[in-house]
Amino acid sequence: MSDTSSDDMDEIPEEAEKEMVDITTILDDAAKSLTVSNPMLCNTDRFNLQDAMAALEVMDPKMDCCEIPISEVAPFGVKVDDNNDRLVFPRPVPTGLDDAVDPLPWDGLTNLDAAHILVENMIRLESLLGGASVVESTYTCLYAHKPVVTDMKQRLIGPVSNDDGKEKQSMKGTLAQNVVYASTLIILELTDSIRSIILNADIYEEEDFTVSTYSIDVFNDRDEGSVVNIVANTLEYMVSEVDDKDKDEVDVIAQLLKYKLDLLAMCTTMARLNGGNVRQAIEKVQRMAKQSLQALEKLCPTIERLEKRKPDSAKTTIRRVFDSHVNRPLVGNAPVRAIRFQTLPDTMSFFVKFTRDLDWALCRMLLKGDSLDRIRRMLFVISVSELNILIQSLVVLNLYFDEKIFGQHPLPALITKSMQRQFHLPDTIFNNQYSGAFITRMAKPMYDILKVMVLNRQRQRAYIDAVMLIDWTTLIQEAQLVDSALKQENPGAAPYFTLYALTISIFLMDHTVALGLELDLFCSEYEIAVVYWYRDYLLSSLITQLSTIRQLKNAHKAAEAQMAEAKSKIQRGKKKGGKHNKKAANTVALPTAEDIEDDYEFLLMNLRRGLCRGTVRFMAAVNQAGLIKEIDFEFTSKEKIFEKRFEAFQVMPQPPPLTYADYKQGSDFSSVDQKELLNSASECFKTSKTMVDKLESQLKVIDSDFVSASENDLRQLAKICVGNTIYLAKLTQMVAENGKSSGGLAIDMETSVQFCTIKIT
Amino acid sequence: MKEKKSSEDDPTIEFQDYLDESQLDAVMQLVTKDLSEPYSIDDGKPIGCVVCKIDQEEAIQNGEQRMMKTGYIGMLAVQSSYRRRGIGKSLVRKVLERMKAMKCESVMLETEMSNVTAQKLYQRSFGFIREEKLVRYYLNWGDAYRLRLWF
Ligand SMILES: CC(C)(COP(=O)(O)OP(=O)(O)OC[C@H]1O[C@@H](n2cnc3c(N)ncnc32)[C@H](O)[C@@H]1OP(=O)(O)O)[C@@H](O)C(=O)NCCC(=O)NCCS
Repeated sequence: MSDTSSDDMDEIPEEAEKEMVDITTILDDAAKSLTVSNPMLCNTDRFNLQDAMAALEVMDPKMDCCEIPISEVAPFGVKVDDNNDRLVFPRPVPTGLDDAVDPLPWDGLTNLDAAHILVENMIRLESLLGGASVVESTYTCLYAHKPVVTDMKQRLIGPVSNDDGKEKQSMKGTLAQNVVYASTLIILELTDSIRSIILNADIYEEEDFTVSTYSIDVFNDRDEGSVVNIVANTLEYMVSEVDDKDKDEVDVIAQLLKYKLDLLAMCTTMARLNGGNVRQAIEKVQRMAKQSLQALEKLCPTIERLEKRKPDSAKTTIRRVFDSHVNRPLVGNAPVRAIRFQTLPDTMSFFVKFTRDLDWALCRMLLKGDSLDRIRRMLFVISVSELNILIQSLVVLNLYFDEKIFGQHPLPALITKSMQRQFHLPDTIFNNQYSGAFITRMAKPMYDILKVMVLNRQRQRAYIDAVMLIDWTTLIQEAQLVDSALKQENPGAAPYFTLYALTISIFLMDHTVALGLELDLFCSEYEIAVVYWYRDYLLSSLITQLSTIRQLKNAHKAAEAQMAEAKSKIQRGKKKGGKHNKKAANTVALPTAEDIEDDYEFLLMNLRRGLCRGTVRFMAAVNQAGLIKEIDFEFTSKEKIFEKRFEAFQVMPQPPPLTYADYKQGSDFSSVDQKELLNSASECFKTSKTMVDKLESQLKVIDSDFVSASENDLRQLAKICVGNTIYLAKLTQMVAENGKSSGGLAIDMETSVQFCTIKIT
Repeated sequence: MKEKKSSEDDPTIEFQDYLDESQLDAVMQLVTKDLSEPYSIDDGKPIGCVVCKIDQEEAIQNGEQRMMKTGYIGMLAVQSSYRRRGIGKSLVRKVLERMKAMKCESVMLETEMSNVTAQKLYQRSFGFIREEKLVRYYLNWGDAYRLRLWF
């Protein structure tokens, strides 16, 4: 534009605001006047950085027209050398099988081609489940586009309807053609089903799911029933048509069609659970998941073989059928995330894990999670196992429906049972109006805890810190009121509700610190020492609360036994000369399976505390040996870092928040003799190792679904104990002479997700 | 904290504020080579650059909401042949000085998880902490850390 028109761009004349002016012709004229030597459409004197950034979006041809390097779309076998890798427009969306730009493989399609197309579709499906948009995953298969599906349908399906009005394939085309059609339809159906589940559950983040469909024109002339029919017919057709059923491609076609069919059935069933037969429906899905998993594991080597022997003809077909850039113009001209597809082996491993998770993390939990503490523990294990967003969404959708957890257990009843069991309390405590109301009040925050465990770790952390801790602070205050009301009625009552709410809130605090460790957010030597020191404090507080609860439980059990004994004495007195009933006397209720699970968790917490304590002392010893350089930062301070790291705990009543000064004081081992410090650190790890062994032996008597640390987790912790003990011994040797070590220090966070090995090199 | 030898004492290196778009090509070239966001531009003279801004950010403190000024470092790059001479550090220091003077409470940035060099610079030399892990943050699907320095 001319220099005069830009006199002062910041000041918009008043009439301009009122009146809209069409500047198209001005722009057109200005654009025509541009030359290669002077391509600027603006006043260069006034063109600033911000303008440049904005202009980039409209001026850069690469961004504006969505062009792509020709090497990315060249036909199979055509090599483009780097010098000739010019930009071209992506191909347009095909108008049908006989598309004018590049007709799609159809008449000459072989079964082998079809098998490879189905395999490639799995890669695209993984990409959808991995967070890519539909236009960068499902619809990179050209067969999936509406005009092509319509064309395939016209060619393959006669206008006839059978009795039930459902479409019947007339099986006009070849097997390969029918397979491609059926597979395309089921992929479209799966895509819709996956999207609706994820959207309904509404826990996705930008990185796990793309909401926009970029207005892609979808072939909607289908429904789940008709698609399932078509696929089933195709599978039948295969059985009758194919003579050589042992051929890899036939096996792959049959198994992949079956897998997609099952996947669709599993997804739709789990998305629609309700009413009375919830358990049967889940059991059916579980059986299906187990069978699919078996079939998939068996299929992997066949697919691998097929892939290795892929002929050029199949490679050419794949290149013609799949175009990753065809929808680029829909996505727009802003920088877009790179289109990314996994390798075939990674794709297959993904589906193997995915199918296993459908059984384990979804069905098994829904079937076996019968108490609040068990559900919490199962979710806790699930929360660290990197579930795919689809499974996370299915868990969330099924967490609470028909006003019950998993559609089966009313939450207030679960809470009551959990408290009853933990304290060994009689029903009477819960029949009181205050406690009843409080339990109902606790239902929502308790549901939040269960739900938060399904989120990604980073989201869990953010949500706990920003919302849940504050909620639980209020709950603790309310619990105190309930307890004092209870005490008035029953002076012997302990503060059950306060203890229960406190335990949960401290558990949450520890969980957010643990999440930070799992995410590797603490990495400097200073932060490592601080975080384990704080975690030791939190765990100690948690253990204290739990010990009180356990003591109360034992006392209640003992009192109950005494009552029973007294009762039986009276009865014995009545029935003079009656046989002495030894069994009734002094029988404290035996621990239940859940009590043993509680014991396991309690010991695990002690183990974690032991490891924290050992780490803090080891770091102090390392410091004493002169292996850590004290750093003072120019713009921040360790006090500030400490304050910000644990800021979310400021609102919590128990345990009282700590300050950097507390840390300095609490972790000051300067007055402790070096040898003694090294010994005590070493002792922490040795005691911890004993606890690991004990937990390991307990695994034999506990259902592995209900433990909060698996055998594998314990193995990791054992390595931490042993590793640190060895390096402590090494440090002890190094400092033997003059108390200082000249070695190096490396903190290994890889061995375990939450604990570290301090390596002296 | 004083460095033994700072690039700020090196007479051959001059630190300059951004003037106008005549420097833009060079800035783009510096950041293009090493950062995963797509910008491409030709030849240029500067050997290092830092691009930043100041935002108002919502903060929750003791359950109370309020606004605070937060600095943001968008890009930092030093031409490879000039690296490890303290230029990166000096650029960051200059930015932090100004942001502090302009009453920012903290400074934030994102760095690729695999970029150990940048993390060392921010964390070890300045006391930035890892505040958040950002999964698949970049256009190339790379994970990142959000780092923050609290003044
Ligand atoms: C990151 C970058 C700007 C550093 O620039 P630089 O001028 O080399 O940095 P400095 O010389 O000031 O080094 C500062 C500190 O960074 C760390 N560091 C720099 N280069 C390093 C390397 N190759 N290996 C390990 N640490 C390194 C060191 O801690 C160093 O302090 P030290 O020399 O006292 O040990 C430069 O490497 C770069 O341009 N990288 C590519 C772009 C980029 O990654 N930008 C950051 C995006 S968030």
